Amino acid sequence: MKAFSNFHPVVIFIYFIAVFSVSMFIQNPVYLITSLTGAFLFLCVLNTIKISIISILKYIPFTILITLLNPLFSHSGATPLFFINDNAFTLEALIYGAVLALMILCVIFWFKSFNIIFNSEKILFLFGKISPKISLIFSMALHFIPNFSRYFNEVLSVQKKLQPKSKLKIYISCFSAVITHSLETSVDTSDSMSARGHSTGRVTNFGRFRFKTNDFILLISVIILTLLTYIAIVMGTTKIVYYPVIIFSNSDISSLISYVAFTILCFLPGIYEIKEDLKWKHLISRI
Amino acid sequence: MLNKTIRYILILCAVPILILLGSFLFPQKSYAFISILLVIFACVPFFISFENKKTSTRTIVIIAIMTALSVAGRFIFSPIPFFKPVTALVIITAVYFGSEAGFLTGALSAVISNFYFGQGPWTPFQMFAWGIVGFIAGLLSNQILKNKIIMILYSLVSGVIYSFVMDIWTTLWSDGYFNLIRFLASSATSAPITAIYSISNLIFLLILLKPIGKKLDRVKIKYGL
Repeated sequence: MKAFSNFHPVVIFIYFIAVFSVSMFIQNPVYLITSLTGAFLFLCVLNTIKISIISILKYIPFTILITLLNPLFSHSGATPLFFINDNAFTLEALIYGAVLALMILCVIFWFKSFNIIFNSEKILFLFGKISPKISLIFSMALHFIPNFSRYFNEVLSVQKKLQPKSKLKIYISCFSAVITHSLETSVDTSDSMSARGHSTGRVTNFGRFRFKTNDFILLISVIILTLLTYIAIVMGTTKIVYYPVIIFSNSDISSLISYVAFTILCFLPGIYEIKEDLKWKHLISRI
Repeated sequence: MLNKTIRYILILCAVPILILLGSFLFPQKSYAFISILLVIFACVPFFISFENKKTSTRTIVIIAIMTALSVAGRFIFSPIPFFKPVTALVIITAVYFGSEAGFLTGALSAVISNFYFGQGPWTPFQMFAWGIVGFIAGLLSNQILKNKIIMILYSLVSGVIYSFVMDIWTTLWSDGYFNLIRFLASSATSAPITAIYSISNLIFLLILLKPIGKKLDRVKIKYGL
């Protein structure tokens, strides 16, 4: 089920920008943990739970590595734990390393679902109006790639039987054959495009996306939640200073609102998917 | 015309406004935020000038073909580790069709191949790095074609340019400022891979430059590009 991808590309894009901006540039573990949980929930709904758990387990060594490496790179911080070659291994740097690892995990996991949801069709729709020529190149290249790979495999299967050469040499000569073939066909393609009137008028593009009421509701809620999140960020009530000593800012009602708003923002797609899934199952059960 | 002027003014104002916004909203990560925006906006002028120029249908198709070839090359050569023809194809396109075509082929190859290998915050930096490798190759096209030493040097340097841009991003994002120790450390860890990539660039360029050049020249003459 990918109900979330049925929203309008502009709305989805704005949603991801909102989530990424907080998860990538704000070093507050509360935001990062909610962000990671939200990303994990979304990924669980998009893939299966088992695949998602395996994929997060794979990153545990990486997380530990980033955490332990950070104190080796930065020696600021007031609480030295021990010394390596007269360089302090500080508590603050260790904690900063953990936050850094968390941040990288957040971005990796949000991008996993971004890659599933935001396919090339949506990119083309977003940028097609702004930049028609480049979108045209983009969509043509996407069309050529599988063709070239298929043609390469055909040539390769013949050449492997014919020539007892080294692997690299066969690959390169077959690749060269693909290039010749593709350059020749390119001329046919462009002639056929000119014959059908390319470069005589404006390029239009087809998109099957319409801006519906649902999109409007999602857009408004994303904007409101993002603004609520950012109020505390701008006021500095959720700011944490790591060096030289860790200082938490005095949190007040605004930071609480910010955390709640960001939590809702992160869990929005996962919960929406689950809701649509339940609705679907309910409808099926009534048949 | 008015529309165009407004668009240019918007782009001119966008950079300072976004930089101010970045340092205001994300004081601890302002460099990372600004660098990602700068890299995106550095690509914009290339796209705009290409968009506004009159280009023949054939040039458009050739750029699409070269982009598709460099992305397909990443799949095709997957059985042979570290040998990827992307940079070599970008350089060849730039040498034969000019720096603009080189930039576009490089930048678009980065975006499109990341649809298969995964998008991430590194996508804009890859776009810029490959694009700029193509752009410079286009400027040096005469020297690269005539002088073999310059060709060899450039194909080695292009690998270094690429990893240099990527390491700057890693450093800025993780520390929030330019931590020289981390930069040196990440350059050192990526050095062996950079070296292999540079050498594979060189091998591809040595093998492919002349034959592909011949083919491109033939198409150019035969069909009058």
